[in-house]
Amino acid sequence: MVTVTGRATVDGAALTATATLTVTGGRTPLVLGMNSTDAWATRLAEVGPTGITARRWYATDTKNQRTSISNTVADGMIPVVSYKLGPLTAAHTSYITAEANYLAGLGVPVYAAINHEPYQDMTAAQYLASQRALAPILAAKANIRVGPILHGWLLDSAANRTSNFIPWLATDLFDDGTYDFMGIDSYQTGSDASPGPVGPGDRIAPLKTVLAGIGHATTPIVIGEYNAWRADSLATTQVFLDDPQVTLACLWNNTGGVGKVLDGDRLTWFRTFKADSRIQS
Amino acid sequence: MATLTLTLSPANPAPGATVTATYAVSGAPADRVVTISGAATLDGAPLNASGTFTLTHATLYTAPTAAGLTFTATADPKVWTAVAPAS
Repeated sequence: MVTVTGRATVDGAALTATATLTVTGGRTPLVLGMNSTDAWATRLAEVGPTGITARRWYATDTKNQRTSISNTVADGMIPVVSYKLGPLTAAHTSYITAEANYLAGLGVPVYAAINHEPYQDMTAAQYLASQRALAPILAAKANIRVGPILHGWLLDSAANRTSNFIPWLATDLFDDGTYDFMGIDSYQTGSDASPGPVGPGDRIAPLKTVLAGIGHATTPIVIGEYNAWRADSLATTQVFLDDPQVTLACLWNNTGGVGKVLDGDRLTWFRTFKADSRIQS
Repeated sequence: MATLTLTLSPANPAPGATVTATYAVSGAPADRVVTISGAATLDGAPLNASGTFTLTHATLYTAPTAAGLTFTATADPKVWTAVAPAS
């Protein structure tokens, strides 16, 4: 229980009042992950290893990443794996079946997605077909948590939410429990030279509105990748901690595309964020 | 004698929820309307005039304080908000 004290002066007379607050339902610790494609040890040393308990991997139908995933488990971390396969083919079913068996054999929690960030890779119909064929194969394994990972920036405008985000949600897979989470990748808009106004944490509110709209307001939220050009934008990710619906977030700690290796005040901010007691250690 | 009360909503928030603190003052004397009358003579003729003003209470609210919470002002000086910490 927390005691809150208030003070006011009325016509010069000092007055005091108190009230109490009880915070209920402490959050499950946030699992914080990271990706560095070619400098993992360096990046981990820069941010400090404490509090980094997951590692993001990107697999394809020709590169299954098993060695990297097994090494992640050996390091005591949770693998977060996306299989970027493209539109469904007959071969994908046997491939994902084999990968599901492999992941199940690891005996530790694993997060997995099929075809993350699909917009402009395929049509919504093709994406939904791949989800309905392949996500249940992963979901059948008790240790694998499955969900879609869509582009966060598609939440930034009502037009994109309506046309390019919501139609890509397989609501039936939320309804029948195949999906364990709803994922987005979320980067600050703009570029390093001209940073945009939307930060990676700014998409949580519209995402929750979308989830409520499909009848799944409490589905756990996963941030598959995130980064920001500036520290004040990175600070929007405080919501990942403050909102207990966010269960896992992976920093994309690479330079290139929409990412930029943490340095300067962004690195300082992240190290402070990572030290919060609500982060899984 | 005026008294101050502070109401928290919700009183049992989840971690990360926004808590709203609202002040209320009771028992303060009512605002007073004061009438001032004046008189003058113009070219021997008496003239009268009057005007009014209202004495209101000067109330200043300060940010509520609590361990683990930081309250932020809103557009209403009686209302402050904070984010509930982890329990």
